[in-house]
Amino acid sequence: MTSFRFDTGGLIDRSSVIDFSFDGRTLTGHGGDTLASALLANGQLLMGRSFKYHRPRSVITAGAAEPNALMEIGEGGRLEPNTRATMQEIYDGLVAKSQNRWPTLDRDFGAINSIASSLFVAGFYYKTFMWPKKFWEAIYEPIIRRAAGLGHLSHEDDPDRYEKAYAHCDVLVVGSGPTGLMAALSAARSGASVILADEHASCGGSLLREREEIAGQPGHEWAAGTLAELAAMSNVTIMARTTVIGAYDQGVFGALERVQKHVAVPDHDVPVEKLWRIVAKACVMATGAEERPIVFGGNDRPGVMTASAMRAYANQYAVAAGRSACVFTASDSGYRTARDMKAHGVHVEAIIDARSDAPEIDTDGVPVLTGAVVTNVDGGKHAMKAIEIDRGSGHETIPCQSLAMSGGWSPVVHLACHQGARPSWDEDAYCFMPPLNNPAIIPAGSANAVWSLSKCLADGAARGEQAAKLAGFKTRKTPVPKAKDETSHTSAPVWWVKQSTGKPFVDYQNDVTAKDLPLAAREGYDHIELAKRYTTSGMATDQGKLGNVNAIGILADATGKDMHEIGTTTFRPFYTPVSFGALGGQHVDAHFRPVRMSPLHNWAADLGAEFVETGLWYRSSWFPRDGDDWLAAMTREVLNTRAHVGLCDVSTLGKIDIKGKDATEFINRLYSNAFAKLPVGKARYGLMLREDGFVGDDGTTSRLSENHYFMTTTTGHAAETMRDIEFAHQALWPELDVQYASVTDQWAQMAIAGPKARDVLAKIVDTDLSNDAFGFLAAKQVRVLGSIPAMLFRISFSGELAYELAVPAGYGEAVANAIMHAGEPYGIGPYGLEALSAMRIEKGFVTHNEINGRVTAGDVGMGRMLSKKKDYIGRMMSERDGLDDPDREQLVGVKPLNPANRFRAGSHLVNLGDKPSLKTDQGYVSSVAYSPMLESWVGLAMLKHGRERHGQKVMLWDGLRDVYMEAEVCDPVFFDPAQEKAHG
Amino acid sequence: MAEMLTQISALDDMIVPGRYGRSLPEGPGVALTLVHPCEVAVVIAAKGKARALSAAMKKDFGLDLPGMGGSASARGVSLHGTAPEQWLAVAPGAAAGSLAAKLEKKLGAMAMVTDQSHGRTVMRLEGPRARDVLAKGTAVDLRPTTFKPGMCAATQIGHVGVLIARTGADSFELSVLRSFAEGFWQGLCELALEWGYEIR
Amino acid sequence: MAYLINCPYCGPRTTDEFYIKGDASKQRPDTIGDGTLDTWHDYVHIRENVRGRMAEHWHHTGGCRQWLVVERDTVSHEIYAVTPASTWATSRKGSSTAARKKPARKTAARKATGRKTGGRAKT
Repeated sequence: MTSFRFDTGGLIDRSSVIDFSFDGRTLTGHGGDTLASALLANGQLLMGRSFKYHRPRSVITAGAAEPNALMEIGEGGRLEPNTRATMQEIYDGLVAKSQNRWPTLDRDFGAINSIASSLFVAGFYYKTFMWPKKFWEAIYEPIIRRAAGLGHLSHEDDPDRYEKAYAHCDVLVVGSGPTGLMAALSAARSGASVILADEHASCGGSLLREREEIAGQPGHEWAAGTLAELAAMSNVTIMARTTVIGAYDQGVFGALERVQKHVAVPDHDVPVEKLWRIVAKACVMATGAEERPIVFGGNDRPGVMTASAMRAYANQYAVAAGRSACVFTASDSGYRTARDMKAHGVHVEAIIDARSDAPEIDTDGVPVLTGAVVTNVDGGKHAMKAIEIDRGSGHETIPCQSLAMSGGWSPVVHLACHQGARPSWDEDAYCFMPPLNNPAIIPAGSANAVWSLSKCLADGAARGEQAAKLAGFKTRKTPVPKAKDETSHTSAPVWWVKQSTGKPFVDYQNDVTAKDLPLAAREGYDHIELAKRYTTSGMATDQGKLGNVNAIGILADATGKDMHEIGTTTFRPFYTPVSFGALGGQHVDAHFRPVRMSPLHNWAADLGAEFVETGLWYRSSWFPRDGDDWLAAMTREVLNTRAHVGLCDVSTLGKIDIKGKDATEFINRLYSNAFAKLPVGKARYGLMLREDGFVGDDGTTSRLSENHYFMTTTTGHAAETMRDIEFAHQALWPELDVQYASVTDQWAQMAIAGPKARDVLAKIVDTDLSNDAFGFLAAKQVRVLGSIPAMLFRISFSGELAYELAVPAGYGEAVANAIMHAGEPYGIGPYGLEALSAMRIEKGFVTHNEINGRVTAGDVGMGRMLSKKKDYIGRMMSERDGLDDPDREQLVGVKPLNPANRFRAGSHLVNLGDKPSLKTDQGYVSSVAYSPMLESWVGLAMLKHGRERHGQKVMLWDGLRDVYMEAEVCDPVFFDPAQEKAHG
Repeated sequence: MAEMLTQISALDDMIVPGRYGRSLPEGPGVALTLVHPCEVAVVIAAKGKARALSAAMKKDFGLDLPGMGGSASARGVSLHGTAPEQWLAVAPGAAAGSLAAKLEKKLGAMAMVTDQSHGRTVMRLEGPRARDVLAKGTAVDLRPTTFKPGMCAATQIGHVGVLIARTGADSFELSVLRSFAEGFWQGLCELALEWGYEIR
Repeated sequence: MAYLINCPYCGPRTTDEFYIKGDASKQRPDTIGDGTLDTWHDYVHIRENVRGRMAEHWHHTGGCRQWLVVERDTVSHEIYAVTPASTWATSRKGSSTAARKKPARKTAARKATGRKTGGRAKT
């Protein structure tokens, strides 16, 4: 319980007191606190347990890279695991829970792993759990899953809303520290539109965390002034709480805005997170630099943190991990921490500088031990007691409650690397530099290894100008404010304190220690990508933001290679984790995908229809009456239609209006059968092949006048067929004078089928419907109900005397009602998709169940429809030998010997006595229906040599249900083979 | 009987005027209005006839045929360039079937004219947040400096094709295929929740 | 994968507005004239697995509904040119049969690749 809040100072609002809970305890914090700073203020140094060894952990950082202080935030459906306490703002009622411990954070059973840690070296799982094989799933895996884990997922629905949105700007500035602010200012002054994004709740970056002055003001005050100036400019958008998570091609950036993750009860009208896609002409990457931990024994003990984090907690949040501190550094940053902590009244015992040639830096009287290293940390769960150091003459102990460490700085290069380029090691700056291969992503400030404040301000201004210029703006030099600077030194890093007596961690989150990497190298996994996967270093949710460079250094050391040779692993979006909610955005529930409604939807709904989703469409499927089920309803609908008359909504068919001087020629090239001589006033069934010779789609096309056609396609392939038609015109035959437009949505289309169809229609259509005047396959523009323009086709998909009537969609409901009214004396009834399907199967008509992409025209008995007299899509390839191989599967009908035996589409056919196998397979059932006319289950099937086998018996095998059933092969036309009814 | 028939919109029972969503002191961020009835027709120039079409359009309808992504309006008819040598003609409130018939009569020899008055649902989205609502769906840069009044864009919002025409600084005319209109309207309303919206 | 395609009619649009058909280097043989099963087999089935610059047919389904030929780099995702498919088709119909039988721009593809600092394992 050593951590505490200073009596004064910090950028927190002490007048606002916020209650929150941690592991069931109610604590208080102030406005401006993060969960991490508030916990420290409450003496709660222990914040989590590590992944593998369950070691007690506290914060290491004060930012996005935090590997240790991961918490479950919220309750119920709002619970979010693995939230970094360093990024979570506190709010009244916030509920936080520590993770990866059982039963409590304080007494964690899993900590026993730490005692047995010699077992858990890199590759341990691969080696230990190899045998016996079946133990893996049954025993090892469940135990490991329980022991090693992060937070829990809620099993409840997330009640909140998430959205996605696009934004456009000339210059995107990522990061609002001194560099970012100057970049935004200089770009905005040129007139460029600027988006300034920062992942923290308050903009200002390091200026909020350091005690530096700009233009005679404290840094945070200068930042506030500059932000106010930016906010007043109409061409600037400032986005706080917004992490730029990825850089994509063509100047597109992903950004996650946490809109309401800092409020107790989100306003449901407002999304809690917004996933932005920002399209920018140029991007200033002012993402700063990450301070590297040093790898030494006990570097994970609560109380140890990076030097910059210790300063941030002290300066911004007025908290410290302990009342005394030591500093272990290989860079100048440690000295600054010593001075700042001393200024806040923390007793700084000593600066341990690993460099024997450490530069002379002001320490404000704190003693400096040069050429010394920390070898271990003595401390427990709640307090650090002392550090063990080595000055080359044995171990010494210095009591202290906290330790700041600084191994140098790593520019945050991620965005410059997301498109595949890798950073390169710089031997002078001792860090990986961002690649410059995308000129529109401009690293600036410490992200480009510019270390001092005054240089960052100047670099920011220059890079902002550079970006604005790239975006096409004229720029003027932006005056750079003066900053008090200290000279900065760079020194060779210390990768690993080899004389450590405690455990030295490289990757905190995955509990990878310094010893694991040389082990990986010894076992042959010395490539950085292999070492990463073998040791899991860099594979946790923090993606190695803190540990990767140290891991590369240790691996270089172990293999005798230099840093450049080892290189980095691949940087991939996202920079920090993104919730699935944000990725889904508004496309959930009813908006998961678009829904299409027929213009006759309400007509069907009023008649009690049950609907079924087919593709995007909702189609009326059956019309239950007196609580009957789908089978009874379908049977009634079929019998009524075949005996009297029925009305069915077929509006979902694809419909295309085609005109033009070359319309006939064009259509003739689309269909495999002849269309050139189709008379005006006639419809024709047409078959479309794909260019590979297989059947693509079918439908009817009617010639309404010399150069005007109306084409229908199947419902399912309407979009594809339209695209294919556009391809045929635009990419193959642009010379043709043809125009076409989809009119699917313009027309409500209904099938009126049954022996009384003519009588019913005659009451509302103004045209002679006699067989002589309007015979089978006639097509005509007519008027219904006196004045409604309509199209009438004598087309039958049921085998009955049938018509399809198309009327403008907005009149569809009225016309359908009028037909129902007119049909009442004739016993009209609605029929749905189930009845439509049963009737077409009774008639042996094919749909995409049969023309499923791997059947030819010949397979479905339409070989005659392949014209030899013209070029058309698919002609040449349809003539390949294999496509008319007699051994191919051909369309047949199948009837079970027992008509009451239901069987399923997808069943396979085998010869009687054969066991089903690839070798004995004879084909498959493509469609099944109960036929009310035959009073039997019937099906269509694709069967080898099928046409020669009518009358034979085969075995139906339903592998999913393991059902065998004897059936008879027959002609696919079960009902009215002479077509008398349709022509009647 | 025919005269009694009214054209039913795809949103027939969905339009309930009122204020919805967040209530902000500055008032609703957008207003959403169904434009119904609304005559719509697709006009596609026949091969090599674009020039003649342009002259006829000027002479008979007073319209300067706009290029791709442009809009023109005269005498209650707007023309939007939706594809090369292809336009969507929109006339709010015109008598049923009249627009396509008129266009066909005058332009039939040089273009295909197809009535879409029932196939398209037209709506207006206006207000200070109109652009922000649309930006949740489309990547088209709708900033007033790049997408000015008199411009249009065929794009997608929530995987639904939509023609967005900017009719003013803060006002847009949207048209979608009829079958998608219900889901599209509901989706648009949800995207406007955070600024509040009004259905007129 | 490229994020934005600059449609010659509509301007820059996200790739989710587009449908990709694939290789546009092949030209449809004329069935009645020079088409043989061999040339057709080549047109329908044979594709180069291009590393580098490649021309493909894309359809701007969510915009102007025009077929386009997008020339892009399969490694760097750079887009070099976007041409209406009708223009592409018309310009190639003039070219000789011999010229069109050449495999898809192999040299250009290799060159474009060599220029890159390094490939990526995956995206």
